[in-house]
Amino acid sequence: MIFRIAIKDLKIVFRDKKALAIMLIMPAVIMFILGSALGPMFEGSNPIERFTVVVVNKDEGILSQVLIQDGFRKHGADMLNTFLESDEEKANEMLRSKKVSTIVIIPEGFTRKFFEGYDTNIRIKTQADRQYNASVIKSITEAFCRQFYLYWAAASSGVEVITEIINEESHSDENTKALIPDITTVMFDMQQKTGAADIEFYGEKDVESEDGNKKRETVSGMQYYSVAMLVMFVLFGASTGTKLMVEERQSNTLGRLLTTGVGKVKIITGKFLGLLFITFTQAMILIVFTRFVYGVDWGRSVLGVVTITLCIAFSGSGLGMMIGSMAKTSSAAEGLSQLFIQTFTVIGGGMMPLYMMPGFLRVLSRGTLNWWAANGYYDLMLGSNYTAILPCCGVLILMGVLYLGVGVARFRTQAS
Amino acid sequence: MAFIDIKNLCKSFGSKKAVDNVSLEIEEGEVFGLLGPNGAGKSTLISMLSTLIKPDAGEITVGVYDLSEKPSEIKKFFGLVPQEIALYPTLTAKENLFFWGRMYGLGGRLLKERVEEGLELAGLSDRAKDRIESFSGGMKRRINVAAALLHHPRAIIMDEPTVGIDPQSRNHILETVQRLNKEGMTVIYTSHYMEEVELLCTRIAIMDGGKVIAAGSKEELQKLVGETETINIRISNMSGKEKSLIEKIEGVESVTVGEDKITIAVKDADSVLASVISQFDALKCKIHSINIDETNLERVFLHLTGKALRD
Ligand SMILES: Nc1ncnc2c1ncn2[C@@H]1O[C@H](COP(=O)(O)OP(=O)(O)O)[C@@H](O)[C@H]1O
Ligand SMILES: [Mg+2]
Repeated sequence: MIFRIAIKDLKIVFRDKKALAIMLIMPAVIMFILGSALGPMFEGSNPIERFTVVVVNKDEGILSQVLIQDGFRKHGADMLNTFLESDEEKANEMLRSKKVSTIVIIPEGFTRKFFEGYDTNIRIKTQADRQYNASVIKSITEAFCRQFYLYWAAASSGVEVITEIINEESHSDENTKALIPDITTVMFDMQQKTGAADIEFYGEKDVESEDGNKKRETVSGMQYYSVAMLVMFVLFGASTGTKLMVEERQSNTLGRLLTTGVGKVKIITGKFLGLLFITFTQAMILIVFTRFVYGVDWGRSVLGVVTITLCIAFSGSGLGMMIGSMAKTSSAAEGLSQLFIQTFTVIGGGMMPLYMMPGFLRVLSRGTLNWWAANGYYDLMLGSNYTAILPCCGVLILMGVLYLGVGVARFRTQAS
Repeated sequence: MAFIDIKNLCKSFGSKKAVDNVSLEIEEGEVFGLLGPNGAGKSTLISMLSTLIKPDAGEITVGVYDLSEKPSEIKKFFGLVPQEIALYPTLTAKENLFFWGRMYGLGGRLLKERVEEGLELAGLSDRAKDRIESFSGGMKRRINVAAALLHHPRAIIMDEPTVGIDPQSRNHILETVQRLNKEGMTVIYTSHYMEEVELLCTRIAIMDGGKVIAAGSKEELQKLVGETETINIRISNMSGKEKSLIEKIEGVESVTVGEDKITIAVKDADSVLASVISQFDALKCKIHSINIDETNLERVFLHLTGKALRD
């Protein structure tokens, strides 16, 4: 009976073409788009000529600082030499006189506007023959902004990156605009900036490999990025299950199920299994895709990857069911899901390098499934074998069971 | 002891007493009607009977089982047709029935048979492979009924199964109820449509404000209003003097005049009908039709509560 409920849910999901697209095709599509846009940045040996960029930072806030430090200086280190210049006129003059090929202007009040939900923009000026530079900076900036945009600005503010191409004669003629895409797309674009920073943190881990092989000490940006995406996607996938649960309640089929004598434990377990299948499949697709299309190294242990993936799918699905069990309406469910996903991602280290966070957050982050999942994957990526991830798996399963338990205990039978 | 015995049942939502000290006995094999306006507490009562919500106080016994002790045994007795359609819109009719059959613990050949039977009962065998979302309201309602019968329950509980549907589907459902009852099934039928309850039910409980204000057979309920009948006359060419003149006829209790019709409440229609007709004749009115209604439940309700069943 439990399986019948799971299968029924899968049928419903597979008929919902939109949900299906988001769950299974989107990760691949987003990976593809981002991979081609950001790919060069992840490849340290890329033969891109480094160029110099002059940044005029008129913003007084933290956001621009982080963009410059983490985005340009750290992450873009392979491609950029970043200099600061306080005088915009001087910077323009340098561009005109071809001393530099590219300047970036961060406007006044950039941070404030961003957090207050107003649109703001970053201006990139480049010489006509160096348009490639602009696109590199643009992709760094955009990926960076999108990420902040997701966590704080919700749906209200956007950052526009304007590139200007400067010819020797005319100072500005052509504007190419690239607007920030809508929020759903944005959700999937993330992590590229924090990659570099977090690698340091995770790189500190001492994991002894049993066969005595020397291990790489850090995971690459692309690896970090893929893991973060994966966990995020599992959480989004789990919210599908939340949605199904709320729908079950609202379409009155939950009431009918209860009158047939199928108890709430069976209902929750059945729906949970369906969800587990969905999130696991989704995660595996993402892993296989990144492995073969981008060559992301997920480590040597296939069994390990499958196991940890199953575990993250398990706890993610448990979380989804818990929210679904408690939420009255679909909007409440959505709100709760968002809250959980965002908090978990932020304090789980998926958003800001952990070393930048206050100490108590670093402790808290161990309460998130993100942290444990990410660590499991990093262990594997760094060459550990199956047994090394078992503690992480154990914690994830425990979390999942806990979520399910709360779900059963707080199960709402009625829509209103 | 009755098949279903409800004693002093209470349920409140906050300060709202949705079901207020209700006691009822329902015999096996009857069609029991629960009649009452929206908000009377019918669905709440039914939800408690089908173990969906827990009563605040009171007892329910079904067969030999006490509902608070053996809810799972009692669930097997019943098939519930919920007031709202409870089906998966993106699954087909057949898939829905298969799913619900399995939830009732059916499987294999029996399940297949029952699903076919259900589709037939709903008159939708030819639409078996269409999704529920493509169905009309009436078709959905029919499948909604069929889904509650798959496990051949001893009693079916129907909560306003005909709300908002076309006359054809409505008749279909009413006929289904009659047929099932003829085959021996107990039916608990909830409605705010007086006509349906009158047509189908052997015994009726009238609910209002969470309370059962009267219960019994139709005849018993009618006695509560007194032995009145209603003469409905469709008429044209009225002069305006009719009301006062008809009221003077002996045996007439009240007269209501509409645009082209007159409703006359009488003790005994046979004894006054002749004088009524001759009076209209004298006034040169043109009579189109006459029909005589025995007292209906609408009037019983009006009599008991001082308000109309439907606004
Ligand atoms: N879950 C609930 N929460 C709060 N009030 C409810 C709930 N269910 C029913 N009620 C209230 O109880 C009363 C009876 O409702 P209901 O049993 O649905 O009546 P009926 O089925 O006769 O229309 C109504 O006033 C309704 O608003
Ligand atoms: Mg109702």
